[in-house]
Parts: sequence; C-alpha cells; structure tokens
Amino acid sequence: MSELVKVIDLHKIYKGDVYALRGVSLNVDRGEFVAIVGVSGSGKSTLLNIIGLLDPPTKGKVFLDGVDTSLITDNERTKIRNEKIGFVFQHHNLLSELTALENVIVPALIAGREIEESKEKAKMILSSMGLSEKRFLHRPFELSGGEQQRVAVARALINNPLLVLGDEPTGNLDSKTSKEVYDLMRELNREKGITFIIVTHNEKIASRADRIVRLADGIIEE
Amino acid sequence: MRGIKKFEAFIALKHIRARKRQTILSTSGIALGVALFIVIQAMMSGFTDEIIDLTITNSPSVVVNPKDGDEYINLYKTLETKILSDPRVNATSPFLEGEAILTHKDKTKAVALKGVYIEKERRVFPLDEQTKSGSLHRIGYARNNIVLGDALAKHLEVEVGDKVEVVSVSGRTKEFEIVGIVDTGTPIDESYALVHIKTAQDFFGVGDVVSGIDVKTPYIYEAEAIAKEIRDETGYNTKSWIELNKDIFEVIRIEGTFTWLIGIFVLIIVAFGITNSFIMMVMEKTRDIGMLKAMGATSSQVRNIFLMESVVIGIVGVAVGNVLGVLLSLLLAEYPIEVPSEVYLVSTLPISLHVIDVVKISVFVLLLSIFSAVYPAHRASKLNPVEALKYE
Ligand SMILES: Nc1ncnc2c1ncn2[C@@H]1O[C@H](COP(=O)(O)OP(=O)(O)O)[C@@H](O)[C@H]1O
Ligand SMILES: [Mg+2]
Repeated sequence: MSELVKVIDLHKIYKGDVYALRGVSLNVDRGEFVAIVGVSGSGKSTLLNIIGLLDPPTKGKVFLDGVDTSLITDNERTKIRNEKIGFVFQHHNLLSELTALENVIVPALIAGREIEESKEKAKMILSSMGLSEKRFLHRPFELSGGEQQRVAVARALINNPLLVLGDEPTGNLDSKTSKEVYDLMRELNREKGITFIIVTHNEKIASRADRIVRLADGIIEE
Repeated sequence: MRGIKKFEAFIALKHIRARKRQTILSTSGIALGVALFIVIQAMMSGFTDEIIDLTITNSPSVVVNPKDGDEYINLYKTLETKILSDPRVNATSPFLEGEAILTHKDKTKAVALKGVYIEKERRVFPLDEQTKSGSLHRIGYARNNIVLGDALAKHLEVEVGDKVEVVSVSGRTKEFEIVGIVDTGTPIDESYALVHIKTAQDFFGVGDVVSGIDVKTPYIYEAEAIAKEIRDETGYNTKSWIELNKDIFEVIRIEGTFTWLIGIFVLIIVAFGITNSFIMMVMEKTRDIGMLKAMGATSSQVRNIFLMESVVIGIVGVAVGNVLGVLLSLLLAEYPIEVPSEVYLVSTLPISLHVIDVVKISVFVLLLSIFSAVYPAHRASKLNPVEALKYE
C-alpha cells in the first residue's frame, strides 16, 4: 500500500456557518511532494490542519498510514503527530528561549528520548541543511528568516516522520531564500522519501511539485 | 507512558531562565513573604514564651478559696498543714484580700489590699528579686507599713518613706507608710498593695481568717492535679495557674491565630501575584504552546511544564525565605527591638524560633505557590493548538 494520506469527503464548518471545506477528497502517496494552492480563505490551512490531526473535520474521514484517525483516542492522535508528522508553519515556529539546536530536539524530548543523544542527531540534520555550526547555539532572534525556517524543517525531521506538513513555510522569506528552503525540502523528499504536503502562494514553487492541488472556496478544482 | 518528565523540566527551566525579571519577582515575593512570616512567628513565640514565663513566676501554682457560700477560710492553719503534706508542694502563703482606695495628695487608685505573712509570701512569689527599693520585711514591724507595686507608686507619685491614706469599702480610713516598692514586670504592679496579714485583718475588721491560700509547686504541670486533689479532699474551691490566667492564655491564642492570619494574608497576595504572572506567561506563550501541542505534547505535559516552574520558584523562594527569615530572627534576638513595657509587659521584643514553625510555614508556602500555578497551567493545557497557532 503506497497510500499515506487518504481523505474522504471532508467538510469543515466553523462557528457562524463558515463553510471552510465542502467535500474535499484527496490521496497522497508515500514519497509524493504535493503543493496546495488557492486564494486566501479557500481552506488550505483548514485542510492541512485536519490532515495533521490538529483539528477534527465536521464530516468526512482522514486515513493516515492506513489508520482511520476518527476511530482512535485524542492521545493516540497526539502520539501520531509526534512520531509520524512534522510541522513547519509560516512564522514564529521556534521557541524563543531555546537555541537552534534545542529547538530541533523538542519533538524528540516529547517522545521521551535523551537530550544528549537527540542533540547529536540534531547536529547532523542541521549540518546537512547547510546551517553553520556556529549558529547552533544561537537563539531564534539571532537567526535570519531563512535560517529559522531551516531550523524549523530540521525540527520537523528529528523524529523521522513519514509526512511533513508545511503551511506557507517560505511565505515570509524573500524569493531567493524561499527557493533555497524549498529546494532543501525537495531534496529531503527525493533522498529520504519523506512525503511533503506544502501550502504555498508561490506558483513558481508549486509548479515544481509532483502534484498541485488547487483549492477554491472549500473544494478542489480539477 | 512517557515516564520521566525530562521534556517538561527542560522547557520549564528554559522559561524560568529566559523570564528572569518575572522569575526574580515571583521568587523574591515568596522569599519575602516567608521571611516576614518566620520573623513575625518568632516574635510571637518569643512574646508568648516570655508571657507564659512571667505568668508562671507571678502566679501561685494553685490558689485555695473559701467553700461555696463562705467569704473566708477559718481554719486555715490546719488546711495549710494538710496541703504542705503533699511532697510536691514546697510553699503555702495564706492571705486576706480586700478592696481599698489609696490616696496621696490629689492622686487616687483602687487596689486589692493584700495581707500576708511576708516570710511565707516570699517563698511563693519571687518578691526578693522584685524589690526595687525599701524592704518588704518591714511590713511585719509596724501595723501601718505598706508595700506598693512600682506602677502604683508611680501613679500616686510616692516613694519609700512617703505616706498614703487607705480607705476601705466600709469607709474606714488609715494612714500607712510606704516601706518598699515591688516590680513584678506585670500589670499586677498597677494595683499591688501588700501589708501584714494582721494589719489587713484589723483594717477589714475580721478575725483570724483568710480569703485564700496561695500554693507553690515546682511541678507546674502537676498544678491541675494538685488543685483537684485539694478540692476533693478538703471541699475548698481551688484553681490552678492555668485557670487563673485563662484570659491571658486566651489572648495569646488569639494573637497566635492573628499572626497566622496576617502571614497568610501576605502570602495570598504573593500567590495572586504569581497566578497573575503565570497567566501572563501562558498568554505570551500561546503560540509556543500551540506549537508544542502540534509537535505532540500532551495536555498533561503542557500542564506539567507550568506546574514544574511553580515548584522550582516555590522551592527557591522558600529556601531563600528560610535563610532570610532565620537570619533576621537571629539578628533581632541579638539586637532586640525596645518596646514600651506598659503596653507589652516586656521591655524588648523577645525572639523564639521554633523549627516546627519554620517547617509549617515552608510546607504551607510551597503548596500555596504550586496552587497558584494550577489555574494558569490548566488553562495552558486546555488550549486548542489550531487556535493557539493563530494567536499573534
Ligand atoms: N477558527 C475559525 N473560525 C471561523 N472561521 C474560520 C476559522 N478558521 C478559518 N476560518 C474561515 O475558514 C475559511 C478558510 O480558512 P483557512 O483554511 O485559514 O484558509 P486559507 O488557509 O486558505 O487562507 C476562511 O473563510 C476563514 O475565515
Ligand atoms: Mg492559511
């Protein structure tokens, strides 16, 4: 079974009769790199949050790695987020009190792993992303936007997830840095086979994904 | 089960270190509260110990009073012998007491005029040490000699050698010469007037009777039992020093409660401050909490982060407070504060530091500081990650 994510007929109705999703079905295979595009308010974040088990759908189902996530407990969903999913958001991803290195190990610590062992792994990941070693001990405000997002990507990878979800992860960066971070994710996808679902505004970036999913008004445009 | 709480401790310590100002504020709030509490308590204990000491010194262990309906004890010598046969009793002193008014020039004061055998009286009360001037023995030499408490003498503006006029309730008047002044260090001094027992019997116009017998035992905690035995065996009314000073002990008890109330009040204000600072932190950290939850932190992990912070702040605050409080108490014991003795019975504030009080205060404050984080921690744990991540 190569299907990693399978969503069936997702609906999301927010308080005040806001129909954010109106019947979205989508399959994402292992190793795929999918871009979700659409105008602001079309439901991209809502869809990503539901796939990431951060928010329950009003109606419809999400299967992750073959598991019907509507049938498991809250704690089990939390565990799946920790072990199988990595998140990268647009901004203020990182904890401001922690150094770059410490930020990266947070998901590992949540999983109960040792600090030192996690730091070793984090150093390897950060180095492989081209973050210079002297940056490891810097706090987020001392890092550039591009560096911050690299750290956020590294953190998303620390627990060897199957899936990385990015909600406009390069949305705050200039186009050059944006391309670099995007290239990095593409490379991780190719070399490690990690599945990526990325929400983006940037058509150029989207055009280089394996597949583009266009959302409009809560449904997928064919 | 994720067992050991390394993750929570890691984040909690980072928060504490990054939020230096708030950490120092909360910690020093607790520390000052604890220190204040310890010092107040040490003063209160010192004061209580001192008062109890004074009370025991200046009270008979037991007083024997007439039987119900009687005004006097007639066969007091037989009764004395009987009481003294108890090996625990080392002295008795019969006395005749009555109301009288003392006058010197334009000064007047109502007193309880007490007639005693001075040789017996000084074995029950430490009168020799308390004699300020003159000689108590002289009340036995002449029928118009009198000894006064120093506060009374001061009020009447008299000294040894001066004369005072004494008027009984029945209107009898007699002039006395002051032969001694006594300072017991208690309010007794304000109305203390001592004469020979025969003088008192003549003055009040009664025969060889007494209004009571003061009894002294070094075994102060046997006093109640002795009082009961005398009562049961002789039928006379008796009271132990504890009953005699019920009011004082009640005041002490109320003051003790009051001390705790003040301490608790101060600390509750501190606790509100901590709660407030934690609520602010949870608000500031809303996005972080959302991120932590997105990354798989459970609600209880998030709650534990904040509770752990309060434990650390509490422990450090209490520890610093203990050191401060104990040092301050020792300093006050070394250099006591002077207070007006008319108000406080003692001239300096005594300090008595009990380990049990420090332990009680510490445990109480530690629980309070953890308690003050419970609500903010709960709020943090209940945050919805999607909402929290949208928070700016
Ligand atoms: N918590 C919420 N409550 C009410 N309406 C919401 C909430 N979150 C999103 N919406 C609405 O749902 C729609 C989709 O939002 P979103 O998924 O954030 O779109 P996008 O990410 O594509 O900009 C929008 O109309 C938005 O206003
Ligand atoms: Mg969005």
